[in-house]
Amino acid sequence: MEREDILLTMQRDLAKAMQKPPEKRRWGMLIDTRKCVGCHACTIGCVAEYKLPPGVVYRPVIDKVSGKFPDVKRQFLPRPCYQCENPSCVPVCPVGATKKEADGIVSIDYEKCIGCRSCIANCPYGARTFDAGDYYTENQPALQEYEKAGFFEYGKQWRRDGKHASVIGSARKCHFCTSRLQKGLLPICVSTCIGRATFFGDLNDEQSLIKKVMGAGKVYRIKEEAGTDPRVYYI
Amino acid sequence: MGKTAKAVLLVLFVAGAVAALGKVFIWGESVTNYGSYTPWGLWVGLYVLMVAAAAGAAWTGIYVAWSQGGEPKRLTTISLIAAGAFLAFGLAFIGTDLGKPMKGFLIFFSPAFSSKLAWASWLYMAFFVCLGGYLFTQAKKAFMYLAGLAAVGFVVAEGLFFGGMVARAAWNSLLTPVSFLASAVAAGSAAVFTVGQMSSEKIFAEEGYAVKKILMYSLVAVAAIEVVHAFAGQAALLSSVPFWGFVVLGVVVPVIMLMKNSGAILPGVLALLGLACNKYAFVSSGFAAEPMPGLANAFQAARLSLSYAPSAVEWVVAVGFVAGAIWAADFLANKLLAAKQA
Repeated sequence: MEREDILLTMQRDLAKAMQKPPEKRRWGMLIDTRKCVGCHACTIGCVAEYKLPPGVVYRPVIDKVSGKFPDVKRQFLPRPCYQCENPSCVPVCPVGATKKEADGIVSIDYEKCIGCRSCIANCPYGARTFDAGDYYTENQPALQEYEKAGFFEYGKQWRRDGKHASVIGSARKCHFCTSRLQKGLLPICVSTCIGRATFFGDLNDEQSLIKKVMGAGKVYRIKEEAGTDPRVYYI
Repeated sequence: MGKTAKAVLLVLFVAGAVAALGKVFIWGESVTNYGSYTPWGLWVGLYVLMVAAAAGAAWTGIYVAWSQGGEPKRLTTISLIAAGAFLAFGLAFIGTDLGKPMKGFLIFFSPAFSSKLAWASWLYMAFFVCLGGYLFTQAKKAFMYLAGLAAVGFVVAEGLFFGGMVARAAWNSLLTPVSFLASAVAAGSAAVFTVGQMSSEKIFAEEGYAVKKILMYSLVAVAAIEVVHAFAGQAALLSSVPFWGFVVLGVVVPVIMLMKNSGAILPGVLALLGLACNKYAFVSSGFAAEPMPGLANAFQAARLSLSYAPSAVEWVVAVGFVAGAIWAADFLANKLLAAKQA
């Protein structure tokens, strides 16, 4: 029997979840480190999708080597924002620019953010980065157009080319591709994963693929002792 | 203070102000060296110091009044003016440091009171209101004590803000607010020791006899707390050059000078310098370790590094604002005392 690409299954799960009101769904991610080959396609897909500048990265892949020769183990650990249930980044924001949305995604309001970087300092996972207004192609003969192109986050289009573009000077982070979800598309890191190592879906839906895979394997989360209750799981 | 020294302070302040304006309106973050994994640096360290000095100066002024009958003394006025100047320049540090400095006012119009920083910001404003009340109304005594209370509030709020950071093992301790309170006393008494003598040696000699003792004991207390802090989790401090700069330059040398009654204002200046080193070491130690091992090497780009050294503009602003705080405190204290005598 021909097996369906899990992207199609997750796409259907996503469409089903989007029928529910936001407060009834609970987005989550599961990363199967046994399948991750460390290709960084998710990282680069994300950088391209959001035109991320130098100093900003939403989903780096940590190359983890443990043990001593000859018992050496190498593991790739993609690190998105963990969209914690109890996010330590939210209460430290002095202007309420970052909050937990009804569907559980931790958002940043670039218009409100004053760039104090308290949230960056208090994320136990280093998942937040600071947009200092740099460009990869600055100090070159011409600033390349792709770096100035618009991108969609939190349901809005943003640009970085204005002197007072709100996104510059703000904290930035992974948001599970909120604007893609609204259009029925899976997060870019899920779509670009060549090993199909990243699962995404509604954790409230027991029939969703992510829940089934979580039920079948031994899952763990990073730094559970921090009390942040992350919604990104690993196998 | 001699005219030359005042002129030097003013020149440094103007240079710092120009650099700060350049950062805010023209260059943006391109002239700073902090990044995503070291989001705070020299300016945040000095902001913490200046705010602490402001609070401590207010408490020192109150102690001077309280220990001499309860009514505000001339040195109390000098202390509170110094407190206002240090607080204003401390806020200038953090305003310049913001990614969006022109939006900083949102903290007053759209505060999130879950953040201790928002509480601290409101208490800064309360302090300025009390300072205005002290300087320009007859209810001096009441406003003096209220200013002291506001200062307790913002130092505690800041201590809890840093001490409550679960992501930063080096700061996440109850010792952090204790250390903030102790260093506020030390920095504040050092500020009064310095500005008080600069403004009027006569007034300081007549009313400031307790300041020397407060400075000496508080420096020793801060050193003791920081050593305990270092061994209780802030191990990165022990290998930090600025931390040892604080111990030697900011504690040992000034304490010896104070015991020998030598150096005029130098012990105060050295104590402030040492405490600045201490605050810088404190801020840096929070970012010494990666939040997740291997993160800094996971994606290579500018500003994704654990290493940080202040840029030239950061230094110019830092020196300029500290000089500006001392110059402004001296200038305003002289103006006000002269106006009262007239």
